[in-house]
Amino acid sequence: MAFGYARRRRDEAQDASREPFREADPLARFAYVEPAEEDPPETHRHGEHCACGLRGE
Amino acid sequence: MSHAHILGFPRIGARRELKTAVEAHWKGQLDEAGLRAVGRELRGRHWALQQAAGLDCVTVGDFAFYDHLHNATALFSAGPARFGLGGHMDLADYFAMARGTPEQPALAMKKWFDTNYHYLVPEVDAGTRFRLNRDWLLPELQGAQAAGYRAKVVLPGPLTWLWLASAPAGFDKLSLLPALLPVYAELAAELRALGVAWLQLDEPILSLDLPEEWLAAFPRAHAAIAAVAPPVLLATYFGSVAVHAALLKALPVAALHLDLVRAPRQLEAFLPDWPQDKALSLGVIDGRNLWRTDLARVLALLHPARALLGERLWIAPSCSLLHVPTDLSLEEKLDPALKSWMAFAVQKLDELSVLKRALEQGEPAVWRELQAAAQAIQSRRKAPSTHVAAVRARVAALKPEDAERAAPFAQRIAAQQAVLNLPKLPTTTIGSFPQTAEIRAARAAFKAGRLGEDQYIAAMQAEIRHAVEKQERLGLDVLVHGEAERNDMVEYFGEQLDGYAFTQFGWVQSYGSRCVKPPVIYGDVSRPAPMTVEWSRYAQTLTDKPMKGMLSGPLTMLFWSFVRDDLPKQEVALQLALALRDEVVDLETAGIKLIQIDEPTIREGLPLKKAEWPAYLDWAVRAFRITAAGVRNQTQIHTHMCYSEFNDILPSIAALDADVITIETSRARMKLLEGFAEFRYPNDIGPGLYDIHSPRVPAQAEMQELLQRALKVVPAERLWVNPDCGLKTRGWPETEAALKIMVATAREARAALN
Repeated sequence: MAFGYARRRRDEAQDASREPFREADPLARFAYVEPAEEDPPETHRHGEHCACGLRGE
Repeated sequence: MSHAHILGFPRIGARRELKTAVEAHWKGQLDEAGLRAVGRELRGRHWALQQAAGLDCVTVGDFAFYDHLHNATALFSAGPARFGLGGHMDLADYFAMARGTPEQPALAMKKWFDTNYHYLVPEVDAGTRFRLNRDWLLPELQGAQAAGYRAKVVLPGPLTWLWLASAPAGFDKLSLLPALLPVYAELAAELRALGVAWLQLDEPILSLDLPEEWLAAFPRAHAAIAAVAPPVLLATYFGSVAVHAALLKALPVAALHLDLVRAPRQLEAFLPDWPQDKALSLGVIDGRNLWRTDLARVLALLHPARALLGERLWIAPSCSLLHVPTDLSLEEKLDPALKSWMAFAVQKLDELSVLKRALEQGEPAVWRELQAAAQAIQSRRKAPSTHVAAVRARVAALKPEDAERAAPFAQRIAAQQAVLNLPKLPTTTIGSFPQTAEIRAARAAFKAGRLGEDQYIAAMQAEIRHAVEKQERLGLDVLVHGEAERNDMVEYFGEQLDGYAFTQFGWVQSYGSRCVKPPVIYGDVSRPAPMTVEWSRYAQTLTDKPMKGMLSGPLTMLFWSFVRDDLPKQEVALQLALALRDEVVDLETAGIKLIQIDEPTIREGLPLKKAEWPAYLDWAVRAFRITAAGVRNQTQIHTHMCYSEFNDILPSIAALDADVITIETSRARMKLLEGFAEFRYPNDIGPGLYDIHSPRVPAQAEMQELLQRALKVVPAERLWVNPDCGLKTRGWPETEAALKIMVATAREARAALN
């Protein structure tokens, strides 16, 4: 019980210590968010690759 | 002191921040200043990580908004003339060349050596001029120096940049070296004046089989630069450069980097008589894979090197960390034991730090870290998932006949034709049909738990019905189910195989803003249940025409994954082959009479040095044949390969013994077929009749001309009619229009033959 309580307090403290950093993090708003649908497959042609070879989301 | 450094850091950001920012910029939602601010922040973060790990310098020049080779092209104002910029490039020009414009196609893109990263191919010709553009690289250096970092600047070496460029036929790219070197020298002198600690020039082409004249150019090229530069580190990676040891020892550079992960034995060619005035950088942490380093093993290698080299010993990852994901600590869903076996880029910095302290302060100083690493290595060695007795026994029991079909091709094709009764020049497609927004939304909703399994299956079955109806209306001879249920040709299968794991943030850059999250093969691979059978079985119930089953081959599953490093690749390939063989046999049992095993990567897997090709091709071909050989003669095995120069490996392509091979040839206007004809390729061929990369619908005369070209070199009874590749990137309107013409073309040619 005591251990659980201590751990929760520690986790809360860590979360609290992270929050200001998160808010101040200028990159936070650029973290990629998966779209509601998957990224469309690549359609423009590049060099030697066909639809199988040139992969990436 | 032991100098610790990295050759480069992944630029995309732990949460793909660069992707978001670049794509927002392209959409007009983020201006250039905003995009540059994101770049600055990412670079600053990556340098801070290097500093925190105690590295002796931070690496500047590894960042790019699209591609680092393209950055060098911009730095030297070497953009192709067709863009009409006189070579000069600002950020908008940089993206225009990377992505194409309404008037000009994008620069070609090629695989970066044998990695899954793609670079933009510079274009050079006799008119190419070079001029230093100080808007590139130097502001990044100023940023690092203003933040107080000791900077090592990295650039592609002049010979690697030239080698990788494309040029008109007959033009000697090396003739541009005298014009390029002064610009390198101008930049190098400026870097020295700015107090740059080191200049790292990457010359990975040294791992290839280089012509003599290119090798001969190294001393004069690097002498010209080194004379005015900060101390130069010449970086080699991706293979052994032992054969060039004499040349490299004599180069006027201050340090040399060797990849000891890919080629550990090459150290013997350098260490004993390494020049007293040069440092030797040993790449001992795998920059290509995500496994935790066996630090004890590495230290056993480093201690003798340290005894010989003293402070001239540098330590580093084997190559740039560009090829590994950024930060393992973000992973919240990985099994804890499996997670403890891994190290992403941030964790590899920690490993480097431990090695450095162990060398400088002695191993007791990092006892705790070494213990943790040893425990993880032990845990991995002992994990039941890495040694599944049944899988090992099955591989061990493989016999030569397991890689052989029951009868030779001539007998098989006759048996197949008796069952399939196909017309001459049979028409088919490669497998996928348009992945519409509805399909992608349904898959995403199912993945996120917003769509139940029954609803998902019903949605996918509706898509299959849709695809089958369209194909029947079009009059195709061999149908496919359309692969609506497949997100990716590796991930789909990996998710259903034992021995595979998936990360949440294990993204690595593929090209530009696009990333891949390769599955991780961590254990022995087996197939707990059929993976594609129900979809194919359902599709076959909808039509009397033959339905082709479709799966990815063992080599593709291997090369597009992070593969375990505790088992030879060929062993993993055999495990995959056996798992996929079971799928092939189950498809046959379910009544599927044609089964396609896609292997777009067979050429990608070729070693960089030609001398190593036969050994690779031997096990690669065997893995494919084992996958295919479990079926009866009547079942027709197809394979599909993308556009590649196959001519130099045609004996191996023939040795696959697929009944039908479909290849991408329309862009080269069937030229590829000449090699098949000269070789007298014995089995059936389906050369792509139209390019699927654009929505353009070719005229029937155009397709007929290509088909007639094919008929000149391939006997009609061996020839199939199909598009170049899968149609997942296309919309339905152009797909239907093009296939209608393709079927009409085949019928017209058939009538003429009859």
